[in-house]
Amino acid sequence: MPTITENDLIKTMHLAQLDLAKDMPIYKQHLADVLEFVAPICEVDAKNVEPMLYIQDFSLRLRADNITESNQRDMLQTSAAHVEDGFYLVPEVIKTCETEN
Amino acid sequence: MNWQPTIGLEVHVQLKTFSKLFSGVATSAGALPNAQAGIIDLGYPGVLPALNEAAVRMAVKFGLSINAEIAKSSIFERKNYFYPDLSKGYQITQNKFPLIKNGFIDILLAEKEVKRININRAHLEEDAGKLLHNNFNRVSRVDFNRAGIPLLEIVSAPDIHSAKEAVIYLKMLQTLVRYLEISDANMQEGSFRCDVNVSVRSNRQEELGIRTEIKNINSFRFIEHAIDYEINRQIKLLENGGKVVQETRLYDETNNETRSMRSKEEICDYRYFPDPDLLPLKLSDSFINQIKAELSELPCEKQQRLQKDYDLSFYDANILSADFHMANYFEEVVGIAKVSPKLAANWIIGELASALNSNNIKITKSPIAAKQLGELLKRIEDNTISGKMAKEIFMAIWNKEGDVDDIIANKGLQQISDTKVLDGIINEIIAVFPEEFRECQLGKEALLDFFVGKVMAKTKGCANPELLNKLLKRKLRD
Amino acid sequence: MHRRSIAELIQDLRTKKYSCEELTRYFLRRIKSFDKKLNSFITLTEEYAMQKARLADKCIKQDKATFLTGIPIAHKDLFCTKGIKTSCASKMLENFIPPYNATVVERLEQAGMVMLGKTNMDEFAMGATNETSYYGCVHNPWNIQMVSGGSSGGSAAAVAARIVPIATGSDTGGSIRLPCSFCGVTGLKPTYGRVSRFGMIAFASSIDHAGLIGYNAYDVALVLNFIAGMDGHDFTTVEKPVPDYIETINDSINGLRIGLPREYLENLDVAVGLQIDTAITELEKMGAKVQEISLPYFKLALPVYAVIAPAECSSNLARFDGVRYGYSCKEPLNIEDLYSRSRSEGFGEEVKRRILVGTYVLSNKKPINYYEQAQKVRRLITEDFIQAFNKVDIILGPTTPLPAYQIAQQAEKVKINFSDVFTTASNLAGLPAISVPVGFVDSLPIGMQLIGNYFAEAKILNVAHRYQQVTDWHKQTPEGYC
Repeated sequence: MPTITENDLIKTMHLAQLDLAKDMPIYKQHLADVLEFVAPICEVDAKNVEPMLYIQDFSLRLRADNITESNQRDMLQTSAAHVEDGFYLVPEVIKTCETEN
Repeated sequence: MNWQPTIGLEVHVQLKTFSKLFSGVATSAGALPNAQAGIIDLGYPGVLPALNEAAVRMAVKFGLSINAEIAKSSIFERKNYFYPDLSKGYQITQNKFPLIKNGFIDILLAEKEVKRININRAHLEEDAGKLLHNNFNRVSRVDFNRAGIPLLEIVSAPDIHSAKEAVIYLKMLQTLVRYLEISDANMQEGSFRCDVNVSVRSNRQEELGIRTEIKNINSFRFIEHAIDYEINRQIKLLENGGKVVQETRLYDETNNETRSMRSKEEICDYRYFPDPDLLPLKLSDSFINQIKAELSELPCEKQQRLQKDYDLSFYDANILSADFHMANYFEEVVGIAKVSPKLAANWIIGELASALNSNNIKITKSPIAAKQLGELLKRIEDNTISGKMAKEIFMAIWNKEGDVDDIIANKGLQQISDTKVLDGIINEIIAVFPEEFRECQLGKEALLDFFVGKVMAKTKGCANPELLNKLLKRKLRD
Repeated sequence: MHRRSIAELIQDLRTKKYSCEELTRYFLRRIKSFDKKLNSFITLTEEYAMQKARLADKCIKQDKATFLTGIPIAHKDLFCTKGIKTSCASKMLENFIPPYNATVVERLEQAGMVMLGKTNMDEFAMGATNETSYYGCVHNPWNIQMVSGGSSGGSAAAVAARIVPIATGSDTGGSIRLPCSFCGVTGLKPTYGRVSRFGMIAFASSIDHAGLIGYNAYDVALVLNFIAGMDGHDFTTVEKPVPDYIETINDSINGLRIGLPREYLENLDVAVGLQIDTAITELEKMGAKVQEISLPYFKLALPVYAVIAPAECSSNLARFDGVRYGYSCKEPLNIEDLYSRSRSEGFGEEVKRRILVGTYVLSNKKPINYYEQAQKVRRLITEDFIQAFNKVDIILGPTTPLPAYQIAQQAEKVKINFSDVFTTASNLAGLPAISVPVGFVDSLPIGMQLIGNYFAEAKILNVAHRYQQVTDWHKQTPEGYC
């Protein structure tokens, strides 16, 4: 079973965008407890078992390519913290290249 | 030492659906910011994705056109990361089980020099929104109109070894998706985007070298420059005992160089897993076969057919087939007017294409219809007009001055090919310049052009030049 | 009126014993007088309800009423309600007003039901006690010191206290059945894909189920008729005809084959076991045949759940970033600060814990890909059930190992974490399951769980209803709420 290092925890917190720095030991212990609890499933020999993605062998239904929605921007943007000229505002993003597309 | 560069290309093609990949929101360009961002595109709580059938059909169509395997069952996964242009905190994409695998495109490097570029995979995924930077007040603005537009990501195998090959491949790919009518594939507008991986290895080296990635370059010319620059940079680095660092680099158009972006200190960890909101996508044989049946002629097939059926040169056939609207136009001209295909090809590739280009008009919107160009070319072939006149008439048709024969008549541009008429005019001229005529007869050949000029002036250029020459020469011998 | 079943309320409204307006006002008054103690509601939609009730009266007068016209209902606060705050019991969505209805809500609105309000729950449905709610815990009407169970604790407590005749709930690991067992009411989790999840704020998408909590199986069946079926907004719903769940609800259960999983009965609390045995005897009297079965992988259900639920939750809850809706921290220094502080300040402890665990298990794929391995073992657990259903028609066992426990019972934390030991397996398999009250242990209700084969909601409702025809546990109301 993997042991959780402080680094693991910092990386995980960063990936999750959660700042839990002040309770690190508690979360570390919690994570360790969970891993211990789920350890038995790692023991199961499931090499030839297909992961279960859906309850039965159904296929995804498809939607016809129709435009069904109209512009609801003004209504939707009432729930946002910061908007301007129809844009959502976020603090300045300096890094220019994270999105892969 | 000999170095072999290897180039991998990841192309993102925006599919031309009416609505988004997972929502019924319009995809058309030019909308106000966030006017085309609905609750699904914005990742509102509790909403669920609904896969667009047209996007699946387009992807399958592409797969069939590159002779790829179409997966009977493919799976959408979530790629998890935080970024302001990503509304849900994950992008729905395909990872382990893409819709399309193991296809290829044959690219033409030169006549009879075909190279096969394998395409490892192509998969469907959703586009992200757009982030606009505003440096005045330290905020960035987000527009989610693009979020959820269907993308087909096409990943080439490491079969490409030069910038030139890369660009030919990309152009063929662009032509192909336009043929299939699945994308506008416009680089400037962002509907055809390309990430380039470059590595070099020595001829003693089995495995590929360490690669760098150059992102989002928006023209073929810049792609070629960027690759060439990057190959040279890596070779120089290695020859000086240095090491290539795996990183993302940015191409700077002004200085024609690539520059290291802040290397990713944080390891990307996208935590892919199958999206539980989307069942496996299973496609039946009949679904695939139906698309296969709808598949029309592909660029390379058209190229070969044009060359064979119309006896065109490789060059002409290649240019015409690169744009299937142009190829259609060509076939229409030849079909209607029954003129020589070579003549038609020359005029379409030459006069018409340059007029369209300089006016920034697509051939589908050409002011000169195929039928009109056909009539014009017919008049060249039956000697009614000269090639030079034809150019004048071409401009007149372009400017909507009427039909070919009307313009010829109105402008008095009809060629004088009647021997009697022309003979009479020549006699009139000789009568005015008897001295010059005698000198000419005595061997001052240069004076022949003088008489040609005079006759042309008299006929406003309508004299059939060949006939005129013949008649003048006969006169001199008499 | 609060003692009348829905079938009876419908009858009363039709025969104009009282008006919808009177009925609605009656329940609203009950909520106001009892809910101070219970804390089962987050939002009371009084004005909206009265309006809807008056409209319902008009419909009845004009003979335009549909089947459920005028019947009050409450929705768990994770079902999006158009124009009405939907908080998921989180500070994150304290001010969130969805511009759309969840499909379940929409269908019941169309059916003419009158929404009285939104019920309390564990934050983002993560919890088994209803103590993780940003709006405070829900108290068990049978004993105010006790938890209601979770996560649909508000719905279960409200129905138990008869302050609403029926309520919606959601069930990811037992979140409908568990509070039903603790509060002595009847709750159904249908087959995965039978009822739309659209507009139900996601916790763990592959095991989230929308369902109902009512006085009895008959009422649940009546309302299920209106929410079941394929939805054009949820492509995980199944294109399969929906039967009329009332049509077969009275069928004889003579010859019914009931499977008792050995694994459910091992180490079972004696008092709880006694109640289950008594219930089995009742069913046998009606001709049911009981046999022991085995679900060998059953013991792995909780560990599998402990991977899948947080993993999916970590991804589902990534959209709460303070940008488009929801809590947004004050004066963020940069984009990371906006994300990190909005999320750390907006989510409660339990939610953060689960996101952390989920992020960890998804990011650490070596040496073992936890999520994939869990999905594989999930199939093994499911195959056990499929095997079992070759031999039996339904599977029976206790809903919870014990009745409700004290609020803030920290010392018993371990026990608490295992209170969904019997319920999660049917979430993983996606099988329909119902909890019905079968008696009391230490003056607290306890439930029995019936698990059916895929899409066999009609069968388990039928058995539950027949059982409730010969028993009256479901008719018991806690003292002080009569």
